[in-house]
Amino acid sequence: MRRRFVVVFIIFLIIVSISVFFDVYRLPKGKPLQPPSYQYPLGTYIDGSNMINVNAIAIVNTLMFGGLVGVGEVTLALIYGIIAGAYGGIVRSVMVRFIDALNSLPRLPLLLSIALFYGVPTGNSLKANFFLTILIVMFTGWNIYARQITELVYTSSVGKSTRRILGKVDIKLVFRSVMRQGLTLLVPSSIDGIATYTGMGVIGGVGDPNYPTLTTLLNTASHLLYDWWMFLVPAVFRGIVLVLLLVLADEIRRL
Amino acid sequence: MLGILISVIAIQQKYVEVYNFGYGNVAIPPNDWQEYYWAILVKGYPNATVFYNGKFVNLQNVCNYTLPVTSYYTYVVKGYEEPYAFLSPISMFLILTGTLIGFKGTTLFFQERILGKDLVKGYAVGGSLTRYALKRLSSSLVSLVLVFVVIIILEYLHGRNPYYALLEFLEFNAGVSSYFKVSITSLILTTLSYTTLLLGISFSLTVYLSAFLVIYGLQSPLISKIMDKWKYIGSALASWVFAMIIIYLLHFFTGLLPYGTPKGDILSYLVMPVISLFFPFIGIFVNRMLTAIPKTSFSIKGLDRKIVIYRHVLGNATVVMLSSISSAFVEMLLAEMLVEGIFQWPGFGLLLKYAVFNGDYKVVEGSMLIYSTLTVLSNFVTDLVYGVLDPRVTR
Repeated sequence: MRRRFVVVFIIFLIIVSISVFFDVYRLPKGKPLQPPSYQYPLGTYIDGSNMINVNAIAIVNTLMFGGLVGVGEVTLALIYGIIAGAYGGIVRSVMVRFIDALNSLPRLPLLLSIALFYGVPTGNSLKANFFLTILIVMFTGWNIYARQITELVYTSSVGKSTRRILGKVDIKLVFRSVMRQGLTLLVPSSIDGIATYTGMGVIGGVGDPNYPTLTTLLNTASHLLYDWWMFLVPAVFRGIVLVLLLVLADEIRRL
Repeated sequence: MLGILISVIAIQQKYVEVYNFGYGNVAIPPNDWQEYYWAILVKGYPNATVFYNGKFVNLQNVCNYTLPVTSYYTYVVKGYEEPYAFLSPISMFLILTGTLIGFKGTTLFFQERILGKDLVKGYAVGGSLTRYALKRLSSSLVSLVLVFVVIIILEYLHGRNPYYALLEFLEFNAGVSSYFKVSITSLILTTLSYTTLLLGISFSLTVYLSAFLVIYGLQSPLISKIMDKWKYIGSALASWVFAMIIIYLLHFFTGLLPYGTPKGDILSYLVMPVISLFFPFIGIFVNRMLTAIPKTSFSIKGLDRKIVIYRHVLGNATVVMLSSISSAFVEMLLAEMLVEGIFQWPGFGLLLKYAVFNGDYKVVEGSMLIYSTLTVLSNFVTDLVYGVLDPRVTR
């Protein structure tokens, strides 16, 4: 196993563990919008919450969003891609055209249009259920990976071989042969989920007050730019989490 | 430059007054006042005044006004409009096409300087450009049809008659905004002009500088290495996050630059958004271009290293890079939409933000249509330029 992968993975695990700990263990509150001090090393939030807790909760929610979107997208992509790639011929042609058509849709405006159906516009944000948003992001993003898996299955000729030898397509066998490559898409699809939610949050203020993410914190901070700890701390955490995920994605691909 | 110049013309504003004369006990605003290109995000809503019987009433909103007595009246709607806002889509395409050709031109210029004219000439043989263009056009139209279908489904789910919705959208007329109370087309065009101006400057600056860095990066492993790491910085420090940091540094902390919706001198308001788009993207672009260049062919053929790098490797890679510039254009447009909200830059992104905040679904759908049209057409334009510059793809 590559040393770089191990180091990055350990750092990632440490950040996740610390975040989960401070998600559960609440530090004392203070006055709202206090700058960093000995008592509050990362300052306090608009409701006086300790920014350590606020950022930890946001990191956990951000990773949960990305993780759930990633799992959903890869699952859908694997199912679709295996069927399209293994059967080949007209089935593949039609299924690939469908994916291409979905790819041509403008994702962010489409997501905002859908979010307006279940979200509540407040005049300065759009309150939208966290899990419903995961679902819509998932259903509009799986197609990118389905295309890759379709081509992977089709070019690997596992589908054709099983069809020739067994007389029918052995989906289980094809699944086993591409599962490993499919799983390497998990981290990129999670990053994609986080980035898409970020886009929805920044442009449309989409967010769930019960599940604040790092984007939610940065959105709140965009109205309070003078209070630098409100945006700088989440921005640094967001940067660290994204860089770790990007490096992990690169390393997993190389493993 | 022409594209940027046209977008500067498109954002010009002038004061206008629209009149309606009538007789009755209800004063009605002029029929077509909603169709004017009101600069709402920059100058606010137009005002309304009703004159009757030697008196006048200033209204908060433009709406019907019940007069105390039946009389002759004059209804005036006044405010600032952007009369040339219709030029904004043209300027956007000029910016894209100009940047694509400019990029190819810059690399050719460097190739000529390094190798001389004769060694730069291409001898590629192509097929029919018309056939190629028609093929690309048909695939663009299929994508647009799909967007129309999705919008009609969304309109149907909102309880509208799909037939009328289709007719409206086919005319690129999304109706009247429920929040802004003016024509959605006018809202989109007036905001698009600001988006185009910012995009034109940031995009062309990024692409031209990328070309320089790519050319120097080919010979300098240090630049190549820095750019490889910059992709992580670019992704982690997204434009909108970077925007917040520079607002704090250059506005709140040092007070060097103004921030907010431009008032007066627009140039000073442009600096921070341009930096925030340029800084993360330059690394991503250069890195993407450098990865398109194979590194193993430098020592083959027994030719001079310069000829191998600048004639064969860079020559072929520039054509591949052109297609990545098109996707970069769409990516930067998206990043700009995020940045506009942070800077209160009165562009397309800020319009979308207000529309979502206030549940104005028709503006969101109209934006979706315009955004996809721009994306599809920009891909089409790139394909055409690509076909002209590298005739091999038309085969």
